[in-house]
This record gives sequence, C-alpha cells and structure tokens, in this order.
Amino acid sequence: MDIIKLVNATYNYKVFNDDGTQSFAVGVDDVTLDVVQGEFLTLVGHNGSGKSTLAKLLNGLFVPQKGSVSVLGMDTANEKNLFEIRKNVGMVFQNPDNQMVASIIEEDVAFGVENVGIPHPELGERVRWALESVGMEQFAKKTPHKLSGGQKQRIAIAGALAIKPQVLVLDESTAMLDPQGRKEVLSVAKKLNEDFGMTVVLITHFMEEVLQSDRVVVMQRGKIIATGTPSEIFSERQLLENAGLKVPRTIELAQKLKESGWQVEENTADAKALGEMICQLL
Amino acid sequence: MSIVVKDLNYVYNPKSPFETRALHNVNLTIEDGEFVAIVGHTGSGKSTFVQHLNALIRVQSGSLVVNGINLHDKKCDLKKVRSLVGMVFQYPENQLFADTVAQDVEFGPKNMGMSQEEIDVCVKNAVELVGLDWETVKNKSPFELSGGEKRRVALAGVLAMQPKVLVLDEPTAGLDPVGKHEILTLVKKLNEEQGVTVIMVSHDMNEVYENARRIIVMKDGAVVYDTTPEDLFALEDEIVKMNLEVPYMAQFCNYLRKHHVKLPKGVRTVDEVLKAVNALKGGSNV
Amino acid sequence: MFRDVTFGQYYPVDSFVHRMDARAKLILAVLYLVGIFFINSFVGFAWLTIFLLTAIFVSKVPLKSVIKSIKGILVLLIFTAILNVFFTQEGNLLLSWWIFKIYDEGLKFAAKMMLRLTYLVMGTSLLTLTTTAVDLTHAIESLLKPLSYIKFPVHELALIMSLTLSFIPSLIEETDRIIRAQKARGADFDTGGIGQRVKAFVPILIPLLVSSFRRAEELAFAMNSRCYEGSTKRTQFRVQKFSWRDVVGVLFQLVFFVAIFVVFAMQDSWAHVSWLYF
Repeated sequence: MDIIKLVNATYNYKVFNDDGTQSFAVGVDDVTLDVVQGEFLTLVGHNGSGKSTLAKLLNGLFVPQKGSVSVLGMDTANEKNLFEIRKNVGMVFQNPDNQMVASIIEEDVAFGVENVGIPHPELGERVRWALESVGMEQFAKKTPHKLSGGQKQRIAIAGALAIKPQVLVLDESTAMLDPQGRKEVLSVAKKLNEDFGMTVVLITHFMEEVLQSDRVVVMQRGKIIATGTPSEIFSERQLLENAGLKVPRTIELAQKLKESGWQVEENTADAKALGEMICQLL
Repeated sequence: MSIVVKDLNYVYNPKSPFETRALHNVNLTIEDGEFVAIVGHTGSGKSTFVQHLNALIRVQSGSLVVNGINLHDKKCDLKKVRSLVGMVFQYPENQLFADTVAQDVEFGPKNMGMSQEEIDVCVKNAVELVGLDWETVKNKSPFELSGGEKRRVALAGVLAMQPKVLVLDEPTAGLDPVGKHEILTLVKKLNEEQGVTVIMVSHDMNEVYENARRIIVMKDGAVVYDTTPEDLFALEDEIVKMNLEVPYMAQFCNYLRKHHVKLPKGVRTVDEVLKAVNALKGGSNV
Repeated sequence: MFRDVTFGQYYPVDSFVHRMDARAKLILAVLYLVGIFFINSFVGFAWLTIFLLTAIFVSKVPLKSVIKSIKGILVLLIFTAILNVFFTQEGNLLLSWWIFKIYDEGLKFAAKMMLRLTYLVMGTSLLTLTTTAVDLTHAIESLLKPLSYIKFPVHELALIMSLTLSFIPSLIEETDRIIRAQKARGADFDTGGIGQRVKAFVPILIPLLVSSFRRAEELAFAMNSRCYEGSTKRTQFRVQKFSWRDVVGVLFQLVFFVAIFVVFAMQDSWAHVSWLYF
C-alpha cells in the first residue's frame, strides 16, 4: 500500500537577482514517486540535487507548485489536512542543535505529544517509550547540549517517534555526524523499521548508508534518475559518478576485480568477505 | 624549520570544579612538507592540540616552537604566527561575512598588514587556487554561492595569507562525495606542489588512509600512536578497540596478508589495491 | 572555555530548598524583596541575616557562592555608598574637609542602603542557585496563567523563554567558534580605538546573524513537523505539585515577616536603646 504519493510534483525556489529581477532555481522537478508502507527507502543525491526539498514536500512543509503530494489520501495542498499529515509523517533534520525546543531531554521529546493533545498518563508513557526505543532513557532528565551529535539525533528521533507516526523521514540527519554517530542513527532507524514496521525514508549522500535499504532512489538536478535495490543501483557505477556520487570503496573494488576477470561476487560490501573470495581463488 | 612540541600539557579551568586535563605530555616533531592526519574521538585533545599551533590557545606548560618562533613567549608576534599557520575550522563557510568574495578573502591579508598590491595578488591567486573563476565570483556575495563553493571561498580566505602550515579541522564534513574529492585534491596539490605542511583532523579513516603520510592517534589528551597509515591500520584489533574505523582497503589487504598473500607496501586506494591483486594473477592458477 | 560553564548559576545539589516547588520559591522571593524594604533598623537587618543564613544553610549551597553574586554589583554598591555619605546632610557633623561634610546620618543611611542591596542580590541569587532556569520558566508560566483569560499570551511567552534557554548554549559555542576562526585570520579585538573595535566585531556579528536566521528557519520546520499549532489543543507534560516542603518554607518565611513587622512597629519605642537603633 502506498502511504505517500507524489504525482508530477514540482517545487522551485525564487531567486532575487542583483539587478532586481527574479528567477527560479530548481528544487524538485516533475517527480512521481510512491512511498510504500513498511519499506526502508533511501533517497540519495549530491548536495543541491533536490533531495532535501523533496523531503519537505512529504509532510507539507513545502507544497508543490505543480503536481500533487498526498499522504494517506490527504492532499498536502489543503491546509486543513496538515495536522493529520504531520501526525503521520515524522521528520528529523540535519542539524541536531537546531531542533531542540526544550533544555531538558524528556520535555523536548514531549513537545510533539503535547501538541497533539495527549493527556497524562499516556503522555508520560509515550515519552518513556520513545526514549527507550532509541536507547536514551537514562538521559531523560539531562540537558541535551552536552551529548554527542549521534545522541542528540536519537533524541530528535524520539521526539518524532512519540507522536507515533507511520512514516519517519530522516532529512540528511546523518550529514553532520561522525562515523560513530551515523552508525547509531542508522541502527535506530533500521530497528524502528524492522521491529515496529515503521516506514523509513532516509535522505543522505553517504553511499554506505544505502546498503541496508529495500529501495533506493537517486536524484540529480531535481529529477529522479534511477530507482532500484541497492545492488541494482551500485551496478550503475558510471551513472552514480555522473550524479556526483560514488559507490562504496569495497564494492568499487569488487566490481573492478570482476571486470579484470576474478570470479568474485560483485556488490560485496564487506571487505573481509571480498578478501576471502580472493584467497580462495589464489 | 618545523614544528617542535615538547612535554606539552594543557588544563582547562585549572583549580576549579570544572578542571579538565586536555593534553598530557605531548611530544612530537612535524617537519616541513609533511601531510599529517590527527585522529581520535571527541574529547581526545586533538582540537586543543591544533589550536596551540597558531597560538589560539597559549602554552601552559611545556614548549612549542613553530618555524623558530617560541610560542611559550608571551610577547611572540601573534600576527606572524597566524599567517605562518593557517587554520581552517570545521564548516569554515560559517565564518564568511563580507559583501563580496574578494572582500572576504582579503580580510586575512589585510589584518596581516600587507600592502594593497600584495593583497590584490594574493587574493586573486587564492581564489583561483581553490578552483573558482576570479572574474565570475569576485563581486558576488559569498552567501549566494552553493555550499561547496562557500567552503572553497572560506579556504581561500586562509590560503590568501600564504601560510606555510595549513591546519584543517574536518575539511570535508557535510560535503557530498564529489565535493569531498575536490577539497582533498586541492589539499594534496598544496602539499605536493607548494610544499605546504598539512595537518588534517578527520573522523573519516578512509580519507585519512588515502591521503596522509603519517597518522597521529590521540586518546585522553595523549599521543598513543604516531606512525604511517599502513603500520597503524595493520593493528586492526587495537584500532577497533579504540572505537575507530579500519579503512576498507586496509581491511581487505590485512585479510590477504594474514592469509600469506604477498602484497606490495603502500597500496591504499581502490586502484592501487586492484593493480596489486591483478599482479598476483601471474603466479596463480586463475 | 565557554562550553564548560553551565548556563545560569544553578548549583546542583539535592537539598530541601532545591526540592521546593519553583512557584513557591518564586513567590517567597518576591515577598522577601518586599520585606527588605520594610527593614529600617539594624535589628531588622540582624533578623534578615539570621533568615538568610538559615536559608543558605538549608540549601546546601556554599556561602561563598552566594557571596560571590555580590561581585556583579560591587561598583553600584560603592557608588550608592559614596553618594549617600556625601549628600546626606542630617544629624551630627562628624567630619568637614574642604567641600566635603560627613554626617552620622549619612553614614547610617549609606550602611543601610548597602545592606539592603547586598541582601537583595544574595536572596535572589539563592533562588537562581537552587532553581534551574527551566523550572523558573515553568513557574512563571504557571503563575501567570490567570492572565491568559484576558488573552495575554502566557503560553507563547513561556515557549519563547524556553526556546531561548535551549538555544543559549549552542549560541555561545557558535560565537566562540566564529571568534576563534576570525582570530586565526588575524582579527584583532583587543587594540585600537573605540571605532576600530566596534568595526572589528562586524566579522563576528554577521556570521552570527546569518546562522541565527538559519537556525530560526530550521527550528520552525522542526516545530511544524512536530504538529505545533499554538496553544489550543496542547496538553502539558510537566506536572507541578506543592508539597509539605513548600508549606514549611512558607511558615518559615512567615515567622521572619512577623519579626520584621514587630521590629518595624516598635522601632520608636526602642529608639532610646542607642546601640540597637544606632
């Protein structure tokens, strides 16, 4: 079942030029895409490819100038739908410092739940459950500014989660994190997808993060240029490079080894497994 | 001419409840023209250490001599030190402020007290060096540029001071693969063609492995490893124990070497590894 | 290092005063301030000293930390003292030199004014030392709630305070980072005339403004995404409850008030005991 449907959605940014004229910069250009219930969808693209603009179309933060976006059958262009839409599509952004509304962690997580009007005791239960789901319950009473980037993003995920949405959109939420923090956020997202059947839309330019998804969408200059499983996408090395992306190093090596005549499994992401294959061939 | 660090110690908020030891007996020498990477976790002291190099943090105890200037000396020429050691902070585009690219880039040289003719030459060279077209960007507002271009303008702002040493804190953070590649290529070019000493702080071990000639690992304010990339990442278990990543190509080569496959030294990029493996073909039954 | 200093001056220990409801503490603090201005005699100040020392003792905050808070108003203290000493021309002339004349009333008045200001600052800092800024925000929201019936935006006001509090640490960090980055490019904030120094701050202010606008935009996105639509249907996570501690606190202050009023009412009849009244 499709949870989110984009039909020929277009969103451009107004640009004010020095000479007083206006022009448009492409954000998202004529995109048609379905987000299927329960899937882990990854959206990749270079900086400025429109992937982050597309994310903001998913819960009505932006409304398409042409075409339409609907969530569970509700059109995002109708302002009356926005509250219900946002209850169902949670979103976490890039900079962990810019999404905190309170200086105590549990109060920050509670913010969204308060907004949808959940009374006690369910309110408190949801906050606790959300913090447990991201493994941050021991920090409930602490202030967020001493945490690592990865921990802050897990708090932000808990804040979205506590509203109990059907879809979680991670809008470049790993872009500012160190490798450790990226791993934390990804494993939380994967867990939510597997354990709670939550639909996850991950937006990123780290190609290693593509590996665990069910489906990958590649964007370039506002358009979708490829869709497929991770291995289907990785086999299009040239296309990815043209789009400003790179396959992970191990996969690149596996592919190049295969091209040189070694009988290895291409799209091997584990460097040791690849080493083992070579050892067996020697 | 070099950077000589002896018994460097540093304590934040000494004699208060917030007292924290950030550096612990750091001893090392960095020669001219080296490409050094400094790695370690947040709080390992790497950021405190590199900020000593251009006297943003003053020496508390121990000694630090940069190109013959003793930074322990309270009256040392700060301007000279800061033009000698250029420092590019994380997300340097956040420091842009001027109306035009040209004005922003000349901020450093102007502070250094260069003459206007000198400034004009340095600014133009720096902007071209980072791969931007001078005529197109000079009168543009830096805020109109794309993310990658902003970062390059910020880099030009430091390069325009013509530093002999370039310290970069996570220079590729937040960039996409192509943006990363551009910045790293530029840094490598500066190091190889102009002999600029590069000291790069990074979390990305793959990046470090492919670019640096020497890696310094810091932990709890002390230097725990100071060696070549190959030797460092051959110690796979120790690296994992420190919660650092082992680069993919190092993992691959380590596996082969452990299984008695002979590989030449210094193969680090995908293509180098590919070449080395293909060279094995001759002696095998494939 | 800015980032090691926690915002506000909250002193993190567990004590009777720390556990009191922030609303009770806030009300008590206001009453305390009013009380101070009723004190007109040194006997009254003696009572005040006993009250304040007891409160400080119970709060487990070191006396040193409370006294430290006076540092900020030291200049003001000295200034008011000097003004009072030289410009009060009542009572007995003690000293006359050139155009300066010092009277005993002037000395007394100056001493009382200094004591008043000192106790005022010590009392309010005891409040902020034992109550987090977040708790204070909630207390203000709760106490102002009646005003929302006359359409005063209490919730919005509290939200603004809370957002400000949560942004201060990262704003300080950001400022620190930009200052260091510009220093690395040779910026000099310490020398030159006033005009030059003001100009030197432009490279800090502009990036700070730019990043604040970006922050505000991202925050708006984040709040919208979390279904924020104003105060209409909102529920409240934080439950505030008065406890026996608050009752004890109020009783304690009541005793103190009675004492002050007794002293205040009887000061005339004690006037002959000169050492008491001076």
